[in-house]
Amino acid sequence: MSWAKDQAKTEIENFFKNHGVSARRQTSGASDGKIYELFCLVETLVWLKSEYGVHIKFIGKTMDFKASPGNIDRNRSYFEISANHSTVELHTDIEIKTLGSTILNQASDNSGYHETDLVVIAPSVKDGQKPAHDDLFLGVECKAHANFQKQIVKQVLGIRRELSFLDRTFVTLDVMFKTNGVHFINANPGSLYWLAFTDPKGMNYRASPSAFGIEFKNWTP
Amino acid sequence: MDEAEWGEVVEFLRAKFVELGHFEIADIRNYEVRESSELITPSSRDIAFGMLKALDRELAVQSPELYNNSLLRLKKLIDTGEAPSEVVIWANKGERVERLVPLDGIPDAQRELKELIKTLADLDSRGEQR
Repeated sequence: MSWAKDQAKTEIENFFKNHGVSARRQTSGASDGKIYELFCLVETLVWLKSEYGVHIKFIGKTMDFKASPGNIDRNRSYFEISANHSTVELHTDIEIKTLGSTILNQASDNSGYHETDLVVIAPSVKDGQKPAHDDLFLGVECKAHANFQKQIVKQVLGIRRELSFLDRTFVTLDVMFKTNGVHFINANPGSLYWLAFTDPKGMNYRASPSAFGIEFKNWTP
Repeated sequence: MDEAEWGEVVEFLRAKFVELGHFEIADIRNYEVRESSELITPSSRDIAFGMLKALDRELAVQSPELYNNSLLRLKKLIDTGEAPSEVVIWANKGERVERLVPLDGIPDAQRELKELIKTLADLDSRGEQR
């Protein structure tokens, strides 16, 4: 009766014996999740090309990510994205000044900035500065977690709250790049805000956040 | 295999994942599904395969194949400027931290993990026949 079970354990034991090093959770910190972030960057650029027919200019030598999020730094690589006589920029690993800190108009504590993995922003943001919530056209959170967890949903809901009011307005990227067919979104300013993840179970959480203009992208390699 | 036997396999897998630092994969609560308004724990068989598929996703996002394909796709997307051939992780103060290099052993682990999943499915059906 237990032959199959014992065989199953043996097969599992052999797998982990042979591949324990590769299968071990990677916790180097700096590079954790960065290959998935690179993949999401490509998916985002593909979407920008197909949706708006943009021209993509790469500024830099290597593809640069940051060990921890920070300011706009044009000494590191970024992308200039142009269409319809307008240009925006795509940067990686950036902290955005929150809507709350702008409303309060005061020096911020630790709550004044929230990081986003990929940001498409106005080129007017100065080097060494952090974009304000209304400088953002598109933000993408890239979650390479093997298992999608509800806390991720709570996190993106909180960040959306700190980017826009709940209101029905035009998608700002559409306004920038389209001459007609502009979409509405339940956010003001009308920035797009995406959550990208690998676990298909994440799609089970998409309905309620969509009311706040958060889009779920199950991007699997 | 019956539910009790799959339960033992799940415990065996959990111990392995905890040992390797995959606490998220080892956590049974991550396999619960919502039916109507209730959270339901699936069968041990489904949990066991769910854990292995989660590891498959974990390996996929670290693979040299994903890294190389992404750089290749990036090159095709760029209209102006020289496409990057490597990825670098920088510290905010400006020191170069590290070049992003995927682990060599990932493709073998991915291949053998897929074989393991298939073997367990075969064992399950053969176990029923014995």
